[in-house]
Amino acid sequence: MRPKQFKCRMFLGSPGRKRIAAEAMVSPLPISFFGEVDMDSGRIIVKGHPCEGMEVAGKILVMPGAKGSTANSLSLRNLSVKGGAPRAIVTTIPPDYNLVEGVILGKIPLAYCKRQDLLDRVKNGDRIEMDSEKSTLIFP
Amino acid sequence: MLKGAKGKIIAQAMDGLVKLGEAFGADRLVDIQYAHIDGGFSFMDTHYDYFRELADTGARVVVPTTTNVGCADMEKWKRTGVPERIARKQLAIAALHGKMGIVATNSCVPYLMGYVPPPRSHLACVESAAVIYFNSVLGCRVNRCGQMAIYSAITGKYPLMGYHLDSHRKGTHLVNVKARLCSSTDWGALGFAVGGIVGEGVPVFTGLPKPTLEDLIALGAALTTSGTVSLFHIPACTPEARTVDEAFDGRRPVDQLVMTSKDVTQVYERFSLGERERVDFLHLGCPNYTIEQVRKAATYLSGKKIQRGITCWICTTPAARVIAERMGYARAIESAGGGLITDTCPLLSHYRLDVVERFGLKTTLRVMMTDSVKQAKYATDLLGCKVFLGKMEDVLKAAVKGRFE
Repeated sequence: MRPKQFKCRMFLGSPGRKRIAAEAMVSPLPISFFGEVDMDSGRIIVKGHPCEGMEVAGKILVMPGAKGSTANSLSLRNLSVKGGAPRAIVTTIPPDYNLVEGVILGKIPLAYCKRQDLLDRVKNGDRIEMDSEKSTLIFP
Repeated sequence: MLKGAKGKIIAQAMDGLVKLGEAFGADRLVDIQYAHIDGGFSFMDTHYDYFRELADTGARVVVPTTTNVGCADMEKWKRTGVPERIARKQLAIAALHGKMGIVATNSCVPYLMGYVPPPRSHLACVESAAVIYFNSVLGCRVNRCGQMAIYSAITGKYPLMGYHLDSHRKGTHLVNVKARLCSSTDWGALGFAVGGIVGEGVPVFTGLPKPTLEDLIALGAALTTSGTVSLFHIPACTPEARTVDEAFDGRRPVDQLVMTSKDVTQVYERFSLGERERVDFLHLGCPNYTIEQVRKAATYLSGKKIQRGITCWICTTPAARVIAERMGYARAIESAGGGLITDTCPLLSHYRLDVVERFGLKTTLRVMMTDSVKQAKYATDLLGCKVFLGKMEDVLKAAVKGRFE
């Protein structure tokens, strides 16, 4: 039987609404928000990426982690203001300082889930939920 | 009213720093002695607005604060082909920075412009190549910071975590170097090979020859490029470890590596081209060239001409350019057809693929030559070009002769 919930560690909770629901976008590869993603729309622009052409905007982005450094924080803030930011982010590698700075500035909930099978369990388009209070990811 | 707005932004900054610290389990915030912030990503709409908002509230930095590279040479922007709109935004952001008491160094090597905090100082800096130099060579304490570095600059605080802690600064990997290193590009190639293996660890090097300043800068920059290294030790050279034992503080290394000349050569091979490739860009100065490096490049180029069709950027700090102009180095470079550029970098320029797409620009940057591993790696990704890596003399020679040897 497929698990319905995975435990995660909240690096930044959701302000206000403790439980958020959105469509998942799953990337098997790390993403750099600076250079690989259109800075306003959140569309993945890097050629050859499995998610090329898809938009992170409004989705719960599930990925190994963010690639790159300093500018990720800047890009996430810009995306948030311009409407291209993900609804939330889940990583399977512990987030680095820049990703956390970016989600704080962009007010984007961020969770870290140890389970490497997360990237198989969730599929693009699945409607999933993140419960900040219970530190849980809920799947269909 | 202003006071209220200023109070609000300080509270917002403190709130952000506390959240950052909480995310990583920091006990408290510490006072910092210096901050280095982003220079102005002028092609990103909200960047100007962000600083406008901060400057208008009356917020001022409470520690010496400098800026990293930006999108345009502040004085000679017309020469580089940067769209005027981006250049003007860059200048406007610099004015806002000035209002806040920030010094527009616009360089990835602020320590070469006199910003040399004493050892054990706590800092908040962007630019991973600067972070690793501050930590490793100057014995300061700093993590890879991002856009929130300005929050640290206006509050004078940063969470006590990561490389601010003694426990985090011990070696993890022992790296025995058997490779022959003849140029700072070789040191960079070594760093690139090691960084990919060490990841976010703290390498401790043995077997190295005595480095120059430029060698240490290149080594650090490369370690941050293939890995996310923020600190390395060279016992009896860098300040925090007089011996290998001290570097590891009695712990066993997680891993031991032996690096040979083959490892260094492999990095060059990764960034090499076929003989018939036509080069259209030559870049030197990543990180920004020291005055000595500018002098050497100028001496080589004196009386020679770079092949037509090759754009040449030699990037340095604005302070170094003043001396270079006084000494005739700038004139020698320019007479050869090159440009002594400051305040910007190809990686933040109008040559970036995302900027090209966004502004509908025509770019012809297909093949670059550089003496920097960091530039080589990032140019491949961000500019979408092919790259040839060679030491300074070799790439200058190729640019003049029009072929590799």
